[in-house]
Amino acid sequence: MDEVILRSEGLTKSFGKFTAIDNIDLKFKSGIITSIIGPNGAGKTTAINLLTGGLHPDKGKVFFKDKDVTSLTPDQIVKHGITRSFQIMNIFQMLTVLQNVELPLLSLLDKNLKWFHTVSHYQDVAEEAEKILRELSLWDKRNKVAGELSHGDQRALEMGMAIASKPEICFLDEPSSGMNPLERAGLLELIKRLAEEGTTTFVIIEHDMDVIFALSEWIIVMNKGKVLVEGEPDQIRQNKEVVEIYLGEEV
Amino acid sequence: MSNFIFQALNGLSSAMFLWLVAAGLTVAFGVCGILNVAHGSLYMMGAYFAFTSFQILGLNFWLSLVFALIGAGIIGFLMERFFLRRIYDQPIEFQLILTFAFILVFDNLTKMIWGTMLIIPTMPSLFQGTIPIVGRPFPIYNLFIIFAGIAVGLIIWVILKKTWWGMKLRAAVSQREMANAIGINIPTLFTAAFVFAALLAAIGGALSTPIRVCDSGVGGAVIIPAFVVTVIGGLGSLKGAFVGALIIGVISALCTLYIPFIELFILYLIMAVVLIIRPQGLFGGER
Amino acid sequence: MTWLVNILNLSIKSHRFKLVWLGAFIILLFILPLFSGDYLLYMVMQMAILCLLSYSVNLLLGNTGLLSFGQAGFYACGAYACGKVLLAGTSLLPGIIIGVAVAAIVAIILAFFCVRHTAIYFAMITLAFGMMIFSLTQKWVDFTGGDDGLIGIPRASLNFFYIFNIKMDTIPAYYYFVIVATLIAIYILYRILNSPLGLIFQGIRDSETRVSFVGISVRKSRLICFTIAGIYAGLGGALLAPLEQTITPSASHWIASTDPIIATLLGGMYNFSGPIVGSVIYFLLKDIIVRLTMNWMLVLGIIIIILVLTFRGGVMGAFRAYLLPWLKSRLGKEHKNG
Repeated sequence: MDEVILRSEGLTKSFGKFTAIDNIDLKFKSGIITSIIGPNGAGKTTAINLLTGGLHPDKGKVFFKDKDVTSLTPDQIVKHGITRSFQIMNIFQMLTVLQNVELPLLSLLDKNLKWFHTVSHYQDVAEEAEKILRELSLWDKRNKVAGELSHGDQRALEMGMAIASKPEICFLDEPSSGMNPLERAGLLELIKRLAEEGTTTFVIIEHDMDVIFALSEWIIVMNKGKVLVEGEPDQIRQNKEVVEIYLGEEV
Repeated sequence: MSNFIFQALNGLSSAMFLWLVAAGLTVAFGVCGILNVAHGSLYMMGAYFAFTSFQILGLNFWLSLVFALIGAGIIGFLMERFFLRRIYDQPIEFQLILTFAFILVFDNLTKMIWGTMLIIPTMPSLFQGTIPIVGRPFPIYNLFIIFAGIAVGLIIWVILKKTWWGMKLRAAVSQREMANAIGINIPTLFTAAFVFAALLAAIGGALSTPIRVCDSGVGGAVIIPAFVVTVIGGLGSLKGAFVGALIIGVISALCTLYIPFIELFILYLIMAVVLIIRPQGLFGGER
Repeated sequence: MTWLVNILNLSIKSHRFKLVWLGAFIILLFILPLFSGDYLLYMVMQMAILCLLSYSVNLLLGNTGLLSFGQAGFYACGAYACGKVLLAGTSLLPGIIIGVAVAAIVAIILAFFCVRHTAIYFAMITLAFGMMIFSLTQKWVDFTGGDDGLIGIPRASLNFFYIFNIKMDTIPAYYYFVIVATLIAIYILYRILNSPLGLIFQGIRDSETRVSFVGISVRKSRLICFTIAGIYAGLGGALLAPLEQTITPSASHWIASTDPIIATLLGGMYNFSGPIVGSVIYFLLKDIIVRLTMNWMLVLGIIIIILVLTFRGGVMGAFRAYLLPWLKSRLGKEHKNG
């Protein structure tokens, strides 16, 4: 259970003269909830982009279970079992909640070329969709247009789309941003439950320290495009350098 | 060989008309973000206004150019101020459809005002005659066109790089919000830029009257080669528009000489190939 | 008034009521030849063909968000191919099928080049390819007849494996063929748009990046969409060849591509019935305007300008967004007074 399923070697990415990611080697172990933290501009989202096909690195490689996935397109990477949610809301605003979840399921269950029957005709898609929406407490709102949901519900849907593909590893980019404490607690619960019950390894990027320390089994700290330190939550909490870089960033 | 040179020079002069329309297209696109399918119609308006002043009213050639500019300027102003301004933030499809509607309107208005009268080329006495080039008589007017086109290019360059207004324009293009914040009046600037673009096309049309036949359909016809030029040069690059015009003008002319029946096909083939291999054209940005 | 509002309301909301409207419409189409002359039938056939072309444009524009200026190219491929086949002496079906097949093949080939791009570049590359086809139809005189085009295309009879042989020379006979073909085609498109594939198209229009990140290849989906659009345009062209019995290069000019674009805009880009409504209105509009004034281009241009600036959802969009609520509020006032 403790093997590394996703790792990067010498990953580097620059935008013009600005080096966003500087030669980093990341490792993610299967079954361990990992968090990536760091001040703004540390390169966290860029790192996720590089790992999930959103960007291609200037140098370095990404390996998923020893397969080189560096230059694959995002959809190919999802098919391999790596998904992500987005920091800036990226749900399908004009489609219904149900349709939002149906799309990743179409890909998962290989139904995307079917053209004659309606989507609901396919039992497996319908069942899976219902399961996920009930899990997210969105089943009652399934026919609502996604753009009309509350912010918290939209974030939940955002996450739901990422896990619908039954990924082996799922990156959640600031899943609790903009949520009120009640919603945040619900999210925490949800992630814990999914991690325990399922086979997905979660990697969470967050600024909210309560969420981080409540969930994480392993924490990677990034700063200025490099990995500063990584370790178990208690070690990180006491690490002097980590405290320092966050001193300017107070909660 | 002399055929080749002669024809290439011909191509150069016809390239200047392409350049002027393409320059206008480029300014409208680069500054306002509008891809104006009706820009050829502004060329046509310039031609008809010049023609009317010169042939019908009997005015001096240069004066008729001025009238062409005034007329087209007013039309350009009205277009931008009351119509185009409203669709700046709309998806590109609506811009294309709206400006296409303008082609219909302008074509029809031209027919209504001038009837089906064609513009018959009449050379102003100043430019009559030819100069021998590579042993063949080359019309003086065509030489004038070549110089005029280059001159316009230089004028644009000077305006953009050296004047205050040009600087504001460049600021507005690269950082619209910032420009707004430091007090540059964006709407007025856009209007001015679009009018400038209209003037460029109109000058092209006006200058074409002594050597080209025009009818009310020329608006829709001229825009296509102008598109080809901007694609090759790169949408939004004036330098590209100039180089693209030269390339297309010369290639067109040479094709007419050597392989006339597939000239049109070659033109579009070049456009397609450029779009496939390097959509941003020779000098275009990341788009 | 109440009954009117209720009917309109039901038309939008109730599926069954929509089917009633549809049934009535189809019945009307089928009994039309009984009481109208050839000219009206001819016009309806032209509307049907424009309708197919409009669906072609709408598929790309309203579903994946891409405006194509080159659909006339596929239309012409279908028309010329069908024309050539019929001129060689076959019966009707082979002509139509080969016409559609040629359009489909051309569409698949061009799709690889076109779908890498979006927005402006897509519009321009489709324009370029459409005009390349135009210049081919104009200049390849040996094959296409040049500016004169293909003439004397026989309206071959519908010969179904020698089981039956229906002559198509009369307008009403060909009318039924065109209507049936168009209705089947529209039905198939309806199924497609409500299927998983259709949902993917809508997703692409909504958020292209997200579609990629749920594991669906945007490029492949666009290829499919583009090909289907090409097929529908080709079908329109193939149905045109035996109707007009003449095909000229103007069918492939980019200006010809603008008719279905305007019809789609008129009818409403975001509704399934938009292209049908738009084609009918556009046709009637053009017919009426031409009778009233020589300046139909001006009037058409002004109408388009008004549409783009105000009613972007076309007739169907305006109907739902403005007319219906207005009627409902009128109803509310009546209740208060009464």
